Amino acid sequence: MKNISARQNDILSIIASLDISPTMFRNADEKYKAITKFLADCGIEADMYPQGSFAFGTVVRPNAKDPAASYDLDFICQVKGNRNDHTPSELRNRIEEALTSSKVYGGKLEVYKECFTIEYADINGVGFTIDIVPATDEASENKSRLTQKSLVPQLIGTAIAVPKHNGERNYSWLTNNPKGFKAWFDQINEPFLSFSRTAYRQNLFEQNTALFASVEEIPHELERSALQRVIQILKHHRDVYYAHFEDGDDIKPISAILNAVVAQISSKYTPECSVFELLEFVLNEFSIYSLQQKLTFKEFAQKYGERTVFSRQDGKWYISNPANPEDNLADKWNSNSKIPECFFRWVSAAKTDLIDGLQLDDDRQFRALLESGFGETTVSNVLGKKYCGETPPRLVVPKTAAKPYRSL
Amino acid sequence: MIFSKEVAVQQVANLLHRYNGLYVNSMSEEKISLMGSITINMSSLGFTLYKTYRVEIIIPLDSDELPYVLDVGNQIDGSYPHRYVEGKLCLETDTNIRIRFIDGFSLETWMSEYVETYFFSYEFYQRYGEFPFGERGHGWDGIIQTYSDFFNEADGAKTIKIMASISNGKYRGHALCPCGSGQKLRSCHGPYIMKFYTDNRLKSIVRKDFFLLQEAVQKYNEQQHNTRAAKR
Repeated sequence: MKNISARQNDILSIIASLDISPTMFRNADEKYKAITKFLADCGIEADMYPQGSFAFGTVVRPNAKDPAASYDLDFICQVKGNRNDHTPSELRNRIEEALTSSKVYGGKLEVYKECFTIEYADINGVGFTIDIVPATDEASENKSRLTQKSLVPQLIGTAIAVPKHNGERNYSWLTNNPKGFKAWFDQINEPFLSFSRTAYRQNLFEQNTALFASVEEIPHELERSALQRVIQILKHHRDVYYAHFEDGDDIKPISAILNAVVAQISSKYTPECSVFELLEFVLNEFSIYSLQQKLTFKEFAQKYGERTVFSRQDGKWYISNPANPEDNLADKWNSNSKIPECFFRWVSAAKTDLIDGLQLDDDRQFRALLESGFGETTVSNVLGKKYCGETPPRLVVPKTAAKPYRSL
Repeated sequence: MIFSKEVAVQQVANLLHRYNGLYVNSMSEEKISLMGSITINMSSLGFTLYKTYRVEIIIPLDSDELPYVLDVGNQIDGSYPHRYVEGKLCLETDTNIRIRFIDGFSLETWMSEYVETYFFSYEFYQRYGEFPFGERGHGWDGIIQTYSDFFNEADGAKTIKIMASISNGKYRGHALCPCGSGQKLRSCHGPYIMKFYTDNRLKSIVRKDFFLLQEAVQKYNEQQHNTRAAKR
């Protein structure tokens, strides 16, 4: 007999196994604060803060192909002043010089065109890297322009300017607003968090009594709502799915897109929900949006008027960045049609694996979908042989396998 | 002839043992029909398939026709390019299957290597929009590609030259390779194609395809000629 809630719990255990551990969180938190202090000692007055998955609480262990891959944690290093006080290359060079000259960081530093990464050693076989993106405050004239355009003007105050590489040693400024993005996300996430917070914290505490003396000691950053779990589930499923394509890294939806669209869709749902209720809702919404591939803008609007998370006016895909009205998160979708096609095929596979799979009578069928969706190694690491039949699947050698044909 | 009735009945018994959802639907002097469900449990390229399909399997008797499968459960989408309208599944080129079973046909092997793989390819294609092991071109393209694989020669025109040489000639390692490389056959395609010259069963499969291809080309040329004549 199928046990749907046991299957759901197993999926959640897999995702929890990919999340950052409280120990690593504490470690990363100490490390980035130490970098801030080090820069201050070098005379660079800067505010360092997390952006992306680490800021959103939606970290998953990267790289479906390599189980030993380390976590990438992204940070902004916002130097005092604003873009009128610095040139982009001078700002970048100052941070580079400070870090390379350091005895502590010099050895584990990788210098990239637009960021610096510092690699930290493994704890229990898992390491992490801190990615530092240099930045400074956006100029006030630009902020007022953005504020006028924005549907959420109160978010614009935190906009920053980031050195963007233009070839050779040439840099220009690029506007970004990770703090605004996070503020927007947190506002949607808060009701989801408060619904499950007490139980979640208690549970986490019981699993980590060696680490925390009381429930109160657990940092808020370690809380996970249904919304955050849904994003983590989709991110990992995405990583495994796109590993099938040679150009997977170029065509897979960036995490910013997932964060933005899932949060926006979820804001229309009741926050007193389970992870799987929300996941099903989000995936069903994606199926509706996928109809835009065939319907015209007008036809879609007539049928599904309220839905504007993905839009396609005049055949041009658009996904808004809530914290930057001049940004279209779907920019790349318009130059390569494989990207939206793959995106909607992927979300449909996610629904098959994670929602429809729960309802299947045969445990072995559920397991096969789960392995296809999350990767065999990841699933086996947590579930062992659970749901497997007695006979393992037959392995096919691709080189000599039959190819389907059609005569005329 | 692929199957006498006696051999087919024996092999069907083994097949039903392994696929216990299948049963004999009918049996005549011309063919055996099997009906029922098959469960496929396969994995490749990071995709695992565990699913049951309803099929009818037809095994022609005392005939040169290969066994074939009908999608009676309608589980293959009508828009999939490798399913005929009446439900017959296009597993592979006949050429590939005949060469695979040159030493005698095995229904069990055919089921696992062709039928199961067909469903696996289908599900993989629906999921990723790509074929896991590739697909054959339609019509003659697919047949020539089949030989390209066996001959280890990607170019279609060169593949046809090799087919012509096999159909009409003997293997001579020191002679020039029919692909036109200017090298000796033994140091060019020889290792891949030698058996097609020396094994008469393989040679006759190539020969049959090559003559049919010649006929098709001739027919095409005549049609072109007639169309041009009509225009004038």
